[in-house]
Amino acid sequence: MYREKNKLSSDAQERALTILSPVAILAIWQLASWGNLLDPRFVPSPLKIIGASWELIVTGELWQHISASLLRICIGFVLGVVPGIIIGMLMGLNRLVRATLDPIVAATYPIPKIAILPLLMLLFGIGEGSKIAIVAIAVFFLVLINTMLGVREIGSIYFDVARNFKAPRLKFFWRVILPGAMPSIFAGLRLSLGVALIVLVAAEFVAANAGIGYLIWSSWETLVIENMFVGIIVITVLGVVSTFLLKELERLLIPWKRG
Amino acid sequence: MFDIPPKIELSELRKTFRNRQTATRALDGMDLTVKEGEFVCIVGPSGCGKTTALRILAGLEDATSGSAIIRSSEKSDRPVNSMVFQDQSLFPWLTTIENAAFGLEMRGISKQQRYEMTEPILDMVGLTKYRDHYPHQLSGGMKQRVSLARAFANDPEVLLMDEPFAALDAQNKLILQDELLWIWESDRKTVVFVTHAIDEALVLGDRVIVMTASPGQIKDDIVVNFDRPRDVATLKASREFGDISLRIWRTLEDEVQKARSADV
Repeated sequence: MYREKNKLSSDAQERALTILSPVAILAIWQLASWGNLLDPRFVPSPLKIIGASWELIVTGELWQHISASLLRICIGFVLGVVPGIIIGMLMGLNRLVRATLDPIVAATYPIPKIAILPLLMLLFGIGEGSKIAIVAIAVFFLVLINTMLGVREIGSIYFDVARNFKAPRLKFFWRVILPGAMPSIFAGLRLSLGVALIVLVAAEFVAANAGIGYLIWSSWETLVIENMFVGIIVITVLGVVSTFLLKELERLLIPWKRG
Repeated sequence: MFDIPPKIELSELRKTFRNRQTATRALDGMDLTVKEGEFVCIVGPSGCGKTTALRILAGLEDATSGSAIIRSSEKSDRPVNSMVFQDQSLFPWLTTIENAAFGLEMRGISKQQRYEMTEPILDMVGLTKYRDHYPHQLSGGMKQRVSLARAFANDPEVLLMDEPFAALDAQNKLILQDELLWIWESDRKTVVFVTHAIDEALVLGDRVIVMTASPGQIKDDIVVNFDRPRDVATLKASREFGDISLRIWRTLEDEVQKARSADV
């Protein structure tokens, strides 16, 4: 009983600390601004950033940027994930497909995706196409590689069982291959999410007139530094929320995972 | 009297594993017949090819030469064989009932029907309460019970078992041997059971086949006449059991020594 109570209070302690530490940093930041320890031209105070956010929200400008970025991310993600999983599956399952495509993947995967943005703009125009394409390409490779590895790492015993129980092709795929590769596919999706945000923001820096990347870059160019901070915060929140949603999806789709 | 052809027939079965440099002979002319309804155990030192023979029978491996036939009764749509694997063969992403009904699912039997067929078997191995658990939530003994249930639920003509209890502790092993005998008694399928443990082979089998060290051939074929139904613990304590297991050990001893010296 005593230990139980003790444990509970230490849990509460931990929770309190996780909430308190960011609040404390914000408070110190605000105090430093008031005390003129921070140059307001470079580092605006938290209150000023909140004010700027409010303004951007009220004018609808912020939503315009968020929706532009979200649309590009979502479409690009789907366009990258679907072929990534399909081709990754084929490469994992079939030796000949793997032998054919492996050198191509190995040669193109290490190209920093942002390096081909100019090429993509030539191919898809300076509009939405090039931004969506760069996200799709970045996601495609990560998902493909992780799917292929996931399939290849399925223990040979499961192939034996499927064979001994005469699993027909389709059932073999849905009941053995897909769930067997699922944890690895999700690892690929998680990596993809981070990379997609990086690539998109970078693309929006140079080649967009809306989006979070554009907001950050144009605010810097016009020296409206508090708006730049708003952009950084928004992209952070976007990253956190999407990672959380993906984790929930993972829990739903991989209920057999330990812990 | 009519001459009934054996249910299982291995003749001159040979298997050589090749890779770039070496060729390893695993089986070197194995002959064996098993009658319908017979429970045959194969014992031999590790690496003697007993598992290879079983895998060829299960269709998981091709013979290099010779043949391995299971005669299926013509008018049945039952699967010819189902295998119980060593361990860790349950799909981690399927629950107990889904794993146990896997064979039936692959045969295209509807969910309701296959669960109706599987539930009594889960009940027999005492896993009804764990029906919706995933394998990582089960103990080693429970997992092997699910493996047994998976093979029995599929209702094959022949059961092939590849050291299914090897990874279990002594107590669990004893309990599962009893359970296996009990389920088996209900319809006395033809069984080929591979093990390295003499006592296990004696407790379960109608016949014990002793194999030589690699490359595997049959060294001895011993008929075991203990009354059925058997109780594992009582049987093991009996005088005859001690005698016959000593006799088998004497036959096997040389082979184990040979297998050991081959390892060095």
